[in-house]
Amino acid sequence: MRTHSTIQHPTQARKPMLRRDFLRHTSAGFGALALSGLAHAQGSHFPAKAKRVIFLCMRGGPSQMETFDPKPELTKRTGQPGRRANVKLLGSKWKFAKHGQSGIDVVELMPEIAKHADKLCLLRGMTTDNENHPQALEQLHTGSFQFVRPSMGAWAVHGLDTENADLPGFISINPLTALGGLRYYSSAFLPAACSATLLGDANRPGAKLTLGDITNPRLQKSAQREQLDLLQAMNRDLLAQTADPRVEGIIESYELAFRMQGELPRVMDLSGESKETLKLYGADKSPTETFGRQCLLARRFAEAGVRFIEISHLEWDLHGSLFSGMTRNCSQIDKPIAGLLQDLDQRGLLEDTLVLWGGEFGRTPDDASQDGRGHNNKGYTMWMAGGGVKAGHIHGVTDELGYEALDGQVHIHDLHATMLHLLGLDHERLTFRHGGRDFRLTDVKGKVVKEILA
Amino acid sequence: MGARDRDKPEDSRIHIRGETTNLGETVPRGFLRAISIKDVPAPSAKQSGRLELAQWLTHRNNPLTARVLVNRVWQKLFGRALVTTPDDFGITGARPSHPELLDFLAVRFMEKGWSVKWLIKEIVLSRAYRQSSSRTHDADPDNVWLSRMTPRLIEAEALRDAVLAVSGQLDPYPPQKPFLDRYHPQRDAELSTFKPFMTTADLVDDHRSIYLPVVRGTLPEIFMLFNFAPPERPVAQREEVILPAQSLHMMNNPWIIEQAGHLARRVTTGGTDAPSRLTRLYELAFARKPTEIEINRASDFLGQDASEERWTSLCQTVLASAEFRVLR
Repeated sequence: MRTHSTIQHPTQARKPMLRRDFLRHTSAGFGALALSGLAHAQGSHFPAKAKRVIFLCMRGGPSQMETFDPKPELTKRTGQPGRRANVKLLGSKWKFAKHGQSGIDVVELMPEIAKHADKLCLLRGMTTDNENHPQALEQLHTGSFQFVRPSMGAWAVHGLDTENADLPGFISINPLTALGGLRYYSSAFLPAACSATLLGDANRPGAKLTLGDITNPRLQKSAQREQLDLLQAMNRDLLAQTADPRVEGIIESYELAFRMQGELPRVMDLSGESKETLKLYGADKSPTETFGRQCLLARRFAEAGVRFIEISHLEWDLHGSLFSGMTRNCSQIDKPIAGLLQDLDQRGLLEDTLVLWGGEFGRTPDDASQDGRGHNNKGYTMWMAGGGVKAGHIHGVTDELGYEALDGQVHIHDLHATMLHLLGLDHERLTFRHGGRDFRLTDVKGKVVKEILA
Repeated sequence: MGARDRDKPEDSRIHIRGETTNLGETVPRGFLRAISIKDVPAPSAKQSGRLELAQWLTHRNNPLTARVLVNRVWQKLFGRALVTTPDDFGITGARPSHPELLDFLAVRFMEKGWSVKWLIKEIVLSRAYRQSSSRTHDADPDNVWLSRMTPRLIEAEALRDAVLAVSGQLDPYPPQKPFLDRYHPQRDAELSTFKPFMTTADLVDDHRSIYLPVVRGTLPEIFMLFNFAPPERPVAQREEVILPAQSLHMMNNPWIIEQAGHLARRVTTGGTDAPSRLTRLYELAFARKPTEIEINRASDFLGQDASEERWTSLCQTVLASAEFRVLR
């Protein structure tokens, strides 16, 4: 465990402080520390470029040749034999144009994001180990698909804790919970305080975007405070008798819960946002309303000091409905994501917020159905924006048809290493001892992609 | 679903780093070379070796299996294991705090025909187990040397059962119908659509926690919040964590409030005045009588009219209290 730490407590000025000073200054003692998670947070290893991450997770694996990696040669050769037996090449039916001063290619399906081309850092040489959804999604989140490992958000919270003690450090909006999906957001062997707080449920479209039991169904706030005062008096009696740190932890936990009850709905209440803002995110009307509201929530959580925020957009697994599916999906996400980038930028948040976009893998240039694409884990596109990465930059190259990355390959381990680096964490030093050895997000792999650092 | 020997067993290749595609040399079936035990037959060429593995695991000259099990039962009962790394008895694991005790129990456990029932009885009848937690000992804050009982948090299943037991709603009998038939009638459809049909809300039930189904991804909410062992990975030791989400559950969850209502009716139908009802409440929930201070404080909270609403709020504080959750 490190002696020096740059953990910032909300009540402290932004100066590095010694860990032991921190312990001395906080009066609540062991229980409160265990609760807030500060007892485990390691603190940054060097000055951070990004304080927080917003991950826009495109589940199913969006096609790179229909978004950010144009393949004119593929379009020319549509209908010709591909690399796979009995499967023909299929070009994109949409046009690309170069945008902004950087001349970054964006498909015509995303006219709003295209306006922010100069903010994007495209990673066109992404690779991952497995081409099945569950495994690739798990590796994207945890680095591993053989074993249950902590999510990257959990590692970020383990390293840096939350900026706002009244809110969780890791929030996943619209998470996929079925079929082992909870493993994507778990703290695994890290302290439980690092695991994601889940808002909504992608598997139950009707599920409200809220944390369970955040409001009391029968008591007004003052009546509940009165009840809580009685409860805490009982708890303090027990603490006086036993001096048990567990009891102290429980007392603190009720106070924090009471504060969270006020804070979380306040942050999640969009009614105070102006019409212009709602319009900016497309949160005012369909088809952008659902994702737009989630992007707006992400900005509000970022502003409030949540360390890692993930939002999910589903249904990018387009095997037999590429043309209708791409049109639908892009119409739902284009404006909200553009709005998020613009809003973060206007508020000065983009410089220390890393935005990450992408899915578990990309798509193949060929397909039997000629209206879909297979899974491609050997070369696909993700992008980053803000948070200390080069703006208006393209890293990595795929072959002329889009089968695989030829240069500037970024494996998921490298992505994780780079993300942690931007957060001020050395992926080789951010460890946790479990089962007799030190574990890392990047296992024994991963290197920081220096070429994309601003 | 069970494993069976294939018709022609064969030796496997090493999977380097556990990777499915990274194969090394073929290795003949056999026992670990690092640990040798005499009198164990080598695997038959015609069989997989699973029979011999079972014989080896439970061989009288192999103390490891019995030690591991004894250690886990001890941990369950005392809250702290004799070897604090129950998954790791190897080089990187912790040394036992009481090596002689561990072996004494392990050997007797084998002699008693591997009876877990015998083992639990042996431990809970010991003087060490029956100690009070009220003493403190600064020289041994972690209570490694067992001079007292270590207080601990009751686990998710026990918390749920305790709430139901106190509220009077617990059905102590095994359910008449398998739970999955009851709660999960569409499970075949789930397999083909990749969408879950059973929800946490479907798991509301008054049977003991041990009878509830464990379905990956759909655990009762109280289990997920109070550190139930996740079904998708092996967990030898549950974490003792206190989280605000747990407090929100105890403060606001409709099921908890409903149980508090049952408890309130149970208590108020019994006694005639506030002190006798409060005594009943404390006896049910804490197995002790309230002090005079506690009676006065609760009476103040109940107010003049002492409505059912007020009693429900009071009973909820009892269920939510640290005293209800800490075993000591």
